[in-house]
Amino acid sequence: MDLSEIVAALGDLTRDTFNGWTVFVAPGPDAYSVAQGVADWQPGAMEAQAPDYVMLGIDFSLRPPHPLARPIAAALGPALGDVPLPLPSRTLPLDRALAVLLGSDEVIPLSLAVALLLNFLATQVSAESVDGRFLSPFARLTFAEKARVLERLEDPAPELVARIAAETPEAIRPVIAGQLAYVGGVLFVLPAIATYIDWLAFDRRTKTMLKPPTSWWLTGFQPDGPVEGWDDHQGYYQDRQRLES
Amino acid sequence: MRDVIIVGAGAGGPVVAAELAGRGLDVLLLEAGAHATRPGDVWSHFEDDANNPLTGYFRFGPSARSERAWFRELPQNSFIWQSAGVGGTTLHYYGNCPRPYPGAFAGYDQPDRSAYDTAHLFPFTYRELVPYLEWIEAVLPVQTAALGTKEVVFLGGAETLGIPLQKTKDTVGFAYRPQENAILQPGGNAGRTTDSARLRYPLATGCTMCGHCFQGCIQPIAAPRNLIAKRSTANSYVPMALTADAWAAPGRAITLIPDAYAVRVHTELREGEPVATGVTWRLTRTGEYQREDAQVVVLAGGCTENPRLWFNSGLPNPNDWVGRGCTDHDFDAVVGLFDRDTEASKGPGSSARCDFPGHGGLELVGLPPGLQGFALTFSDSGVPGHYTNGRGSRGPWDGPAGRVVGAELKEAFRNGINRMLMVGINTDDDVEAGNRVTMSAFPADENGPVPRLRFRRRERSARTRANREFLAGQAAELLRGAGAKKVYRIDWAPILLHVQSSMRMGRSADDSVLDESAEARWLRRLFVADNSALPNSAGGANPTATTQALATRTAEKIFHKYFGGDPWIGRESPVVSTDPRISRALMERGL
Repeated sequence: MDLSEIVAALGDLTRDTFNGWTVFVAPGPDAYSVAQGVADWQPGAMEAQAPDYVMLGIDFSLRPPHPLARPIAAALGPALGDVPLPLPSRTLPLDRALAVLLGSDEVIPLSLAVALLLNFLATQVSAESVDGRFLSPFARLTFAEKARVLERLEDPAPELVARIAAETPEAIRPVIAGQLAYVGGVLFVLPAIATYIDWLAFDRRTKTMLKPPTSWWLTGFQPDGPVEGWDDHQGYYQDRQRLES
Repeated sequence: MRDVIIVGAGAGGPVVAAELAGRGLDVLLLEAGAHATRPGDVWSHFEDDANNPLTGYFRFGPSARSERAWFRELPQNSFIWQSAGVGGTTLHYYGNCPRPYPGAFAGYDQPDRSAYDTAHLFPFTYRELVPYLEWIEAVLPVQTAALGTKEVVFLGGAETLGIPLQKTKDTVGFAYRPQENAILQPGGNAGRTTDSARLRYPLATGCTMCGHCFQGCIQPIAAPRNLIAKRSTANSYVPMALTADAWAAPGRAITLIPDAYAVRVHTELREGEPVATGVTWRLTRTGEYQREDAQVVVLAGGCTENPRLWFNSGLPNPNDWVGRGCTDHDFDAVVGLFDRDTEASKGPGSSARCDFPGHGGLELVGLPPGLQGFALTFSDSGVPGHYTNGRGSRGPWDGPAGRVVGAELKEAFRNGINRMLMVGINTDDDVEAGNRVTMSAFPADENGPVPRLRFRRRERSARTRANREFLAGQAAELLRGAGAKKVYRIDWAPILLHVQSSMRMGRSADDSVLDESAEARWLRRLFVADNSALPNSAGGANPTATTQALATRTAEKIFHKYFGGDPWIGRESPVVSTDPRISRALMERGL
């Protein structure tokens, strides 16, 4: 079995999961937003390439390997046998694909581990999510179902923590519940930042704007481009410029 | 051997450096992050360039942006907004300089004295600190903020709360007012045009109301470094320290080493007592280790990094209070949507506030869109209508507290960022032993074992929780009074931006690390001079002014105790950081 095919397919699954996730925070006119039942006519997370921003944010936070990435994959893989993972040559059950990955020396990205968490919880929230449109069970959920997944991630059940702990070195076990809650919070803010920040619009090397950021149009921020100042001086409150000592 | 080595060039370290350099001492100032000597060349007005938590130039990490930020374990839903580099977190602060509330100090005897964290008061009186507050207010300098549209809207709402206008520096009761900010106020064309050509120094002086405080202030363009509007220590105390020979008769310019991560404090026994003797640091650009010794060592690396350095150095901790007692103002945010322009993204980040001594304070907060997106989605209360995490409190805001996501988020921004208004809640929160820095089980990084910052978010004291609820209600009423058509309460999870008291000074040796002079109880010649030295959360007032006043006092204590000098506060007049001698020396030295 070609490991590189599996790694690539798991990468596709990760991206698909975050496609399904980021539109929860900032829906747009894309297929993932439509599928969850909450879409918007203006550009949203997908148009802002928020999935890239989120995956980069998760994977760049700590020099790999993240000590929880492999344990999470090992803990959740066996429960994902009903989820098909298409490869170029064949379709493989997700548990078998993960078993191959775990049997190799490949570094497991934290973004994959987080995607597995979302998909594992998705299959708990909706058994029907194991198959259908999109690669990711999570991406198949409705908006309300996605919220139930995040609820279970932010306040993880002892069974989930215990399941991961069984695959985790003893020294790291105490951090599991806290890290799940931390990830639960980060998962909300990163898509929001990505959608409304200017990250696709400037050249970091030259410090120049490549194009007006979509977010500035969406929010009415700096409609004529970056400024060095605004003409908004309204004087001083009751003309007071100094407090009494 | 140096006279003094200071670890950390954030809000507090440069104050000690400049004051002692002004007395002629040989001071070495170490900073783990970058020194932006030409900030206009390396900073920008782009949010992601500055504030991307992992790659932005203001992230808490090494100056090489291709390298990872420094990891700290957060074992709960929480987020750290902290900046490395010369200036530290004052690089992106809003310059707010309210004085602390007198009730947070020993000796306070007013009728509301039981309303404060009485178990963890400052070990001296408020009146003792006032001369030091006056000193730093003159040095920075601190000025009453001008109004923009958002301040007019905010203060209009504050007028409906039935509280008076505060007309004094000291906060003695519920009141509202424009902020006292460490920002040079608009002069010349500043605040009166959007024409960039007319906003260059000296055609414009002070704040140009550009709205980019969080990306680092470089206004007005072409101003000498010490005349840049926002008084980050990179624009005030550090330039003073680097030119001390130019403005003080016995002055001696400090040595500043950026990209130098302190990894060990050295000690020895003298007459049976442990004494700090020096510091080893790692140069982050080369990996080389260097060491110097000094008569006095001052820690000012922040509330997380000071305990980390302490633990990694194996320093004594007999009462187990190193790293304990963190306060964070238990921040929250209440956001209003309006049918009229608030111009919330324009002007200084915050130029108006309300104070409620015994509870904390409210402040107007203006943000650019990326950060506003963060502010609307960072919550411990789940998603309204779906789940609450057992929280989701109700009050004079619309619906349960929680995140603004999905269609609601899109609609809020569609209404316009300049038709929002956010009120930040700075809670007077209690010192609690369980909120603490320890060492993480995560792998060490290149600078040693990494810290873990634990906040027991859902287990704060009853007083802290009640204060936060009271302030959230006031914030919502203020926004209603200002005309908001919709009011959201977010119920932020811990945002570690105002972090205080992890190396706290205290009256009791049972629950403090520092004595009343900010010297370590169990290690002579080692002082702490940043927010971590504060005994409590200063009543909920933004901590920088208090920390800088305390750091000035600490500098005086060091000079008197270990160098035989006389105190100078109250006896001399301060040199203002905008002094032309400093401007001239900076230009002559290419700084």
